[in-house]
Amino acid sequence: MRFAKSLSCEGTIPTGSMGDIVFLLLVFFMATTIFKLEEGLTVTLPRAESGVRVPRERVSHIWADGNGNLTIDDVYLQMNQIETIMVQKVRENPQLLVGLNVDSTLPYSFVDDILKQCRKANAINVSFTNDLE
Amino acid sequence: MAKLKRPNMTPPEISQASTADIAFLLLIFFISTTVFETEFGMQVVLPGLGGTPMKVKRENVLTVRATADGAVFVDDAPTALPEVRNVIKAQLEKNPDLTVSIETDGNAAYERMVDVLDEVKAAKAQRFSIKKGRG
Repeated sequence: MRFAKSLSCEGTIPTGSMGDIVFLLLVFFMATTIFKLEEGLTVTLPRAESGVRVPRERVSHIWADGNGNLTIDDVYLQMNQIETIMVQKVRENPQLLVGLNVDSTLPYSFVDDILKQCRKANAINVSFTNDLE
Repeated sequence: MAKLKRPNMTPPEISQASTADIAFLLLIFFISTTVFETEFGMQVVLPGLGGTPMKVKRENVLTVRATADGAVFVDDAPTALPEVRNVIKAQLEKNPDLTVSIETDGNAAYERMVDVLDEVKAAKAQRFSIKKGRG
């Protein structure tokens, strides 16, 4: 018995839609990219398992490193200046969430002083930033 | 009289052949610069300065105290940190109105307060307060 010769054709992947796919990916990355606006300080964050994802668009960070240096928006400041800056930020965004990026080795009294300054400025939504355990 | 030749009237075009290359270059730039940074934190709402302090019955308060040397006491009983959540859970089952008061010594490391707060949150305690203890 004679079998019919199977039709042979070259296997090619169509590349016509590649440009569209690239554009879609490009739009995705352009839409999701947020350029980092502040450098902050070098801190070792405490670890916790109960931390939840923080909405970044609402957050204003206070950085405090192990030497007790304080920065907001990459500007070094003293403890008593926090209130003035936070008052301004709360006025701009009443839903402001203060992200405390505090070094885990700092004494708690330092953090307590920051919280008091935030309360004075009516910035009452606070997030203790942590690394996930 | 010589007859002038009519110029070729082809419409001007911008070449689109390199569009995909440009898109690829931009894509590579965004892929290489994008860092998917997610931030995690334990959110609390501080009491406003104008508000009146909430009164809580003494029997509804469970005090978790963190000392400067890192020890943790639950209602004055020394407790290992991983046990704190179990103790709070047990107390919450007995008394659903329980408020956990976290008192951290001023000289204790900030990390210790976060550890205790983590345990309180893990125990699903809805009512808690944070304050500075002695030191």
